[in-house]
Amino acid sequence: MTEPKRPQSAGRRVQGSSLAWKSGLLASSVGGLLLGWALLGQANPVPASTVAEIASPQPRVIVVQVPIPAASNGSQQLVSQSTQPVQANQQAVSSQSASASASPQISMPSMPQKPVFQQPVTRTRGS
Amino acid sequence: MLAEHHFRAMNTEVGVWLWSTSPIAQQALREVEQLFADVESQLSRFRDDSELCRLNARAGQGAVTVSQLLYRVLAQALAAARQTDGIFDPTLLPQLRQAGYDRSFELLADARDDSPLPPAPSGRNGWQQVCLDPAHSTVELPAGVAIDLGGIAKGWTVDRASELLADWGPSLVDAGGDMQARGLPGGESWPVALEDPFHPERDLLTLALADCAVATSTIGKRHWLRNGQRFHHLIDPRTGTSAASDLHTVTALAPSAMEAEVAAKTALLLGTVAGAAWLGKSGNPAILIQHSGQCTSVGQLPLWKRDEQ
Repeated sequence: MTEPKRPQSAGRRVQGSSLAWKSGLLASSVGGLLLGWALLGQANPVPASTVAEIASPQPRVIVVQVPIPAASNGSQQLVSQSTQPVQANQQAVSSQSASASASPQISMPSMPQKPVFQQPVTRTRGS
Repeated sequence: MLAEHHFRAMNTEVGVWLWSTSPIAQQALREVEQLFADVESQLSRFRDDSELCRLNARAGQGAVTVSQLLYRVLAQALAAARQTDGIFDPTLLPQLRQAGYDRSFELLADARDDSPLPPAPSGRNGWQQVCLDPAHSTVELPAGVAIDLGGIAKGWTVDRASELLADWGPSLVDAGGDMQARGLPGGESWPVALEDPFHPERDLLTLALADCAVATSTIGKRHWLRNGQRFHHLIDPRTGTSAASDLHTVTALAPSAMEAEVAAKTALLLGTVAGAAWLGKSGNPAILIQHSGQCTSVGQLPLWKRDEQ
């Protein structure tokens, strides 16, 4: 009653070669992905500021650009609101992204210099 | 940037404007007020204790030693008399008193004096008889001659005030219409409106002044009635009484306020034709306004153009 032994070596060889092929395919895919990622990284280097944002996505900063009188200080042109304190570089990143994603920028022409005198300083008077 | 200071001196309103970033510019403006006070205290003919009154009181008594201030202003006044052939004459005080201008105009305007007019002072060209000694700073007035430095002293003070402010920045000094504009505040000229003498609430035009002076002589401000006769303070040395010129007002430009004062007064006394000719010869741009309102302009007036601002 002994069943004849099936030739397993061939089967194992078939199974073993298939596994190796799949492993090779997977390895090459992963390798290609990594290589592509690396090449992509070289072609489009990530700005340091973005790196900072990625490394520290928190806190959330909402930047709202509002019109400012020409005489105001440039540093006040962006009004930021945040629920958490932010570091300078993080705010800079957010400002950058906000500027890029905001509606088309309206470039304000520089205002002509205000004349010193709008009217005569004094009047002649006879003596 | 534009500091200003107003005060009253020499019986008129004085305004001083200074274009400066210095935090102590106000100090310079107060020094100008002090300068006016000092000059007025020495050269006023309405103050009995002034040096000028003391000098006039010693006419006919020999040489009198005077201060450098009085000497300089008197020397300038006599030089102006020479340049105008005596039309501008600082020795007409007796004639001015005779016409009734014997007190400050504020008092004169309120006074009623119907007393008979005294006889006209004798002698003309008194300015030629005044002797100056620069070596000893002395002045000798002949008997009957008295000095009035009113207008020219005011112009002289305006010029000194302008010099005083020169180190601080551009400035405008205005003493009752005698003005000196120095420098360009913010790169612009000083705009000064020319008052319509017949409608003081209106302006005829606006001058753009830079490093020049302007002065206005008029018979429209200081006039009075005496014995039913109308007098004003501009005495014609050729007649010894208030000038009967066809001109009502003359505004003249010159390098200094003192020169502008002399030019305006001389032209008014000479009348339109001779006055315009004299101004043209002396190189003083001016506008001459007759009693009829007709205006004559001499030379190139620097006009302020608002549309260029």
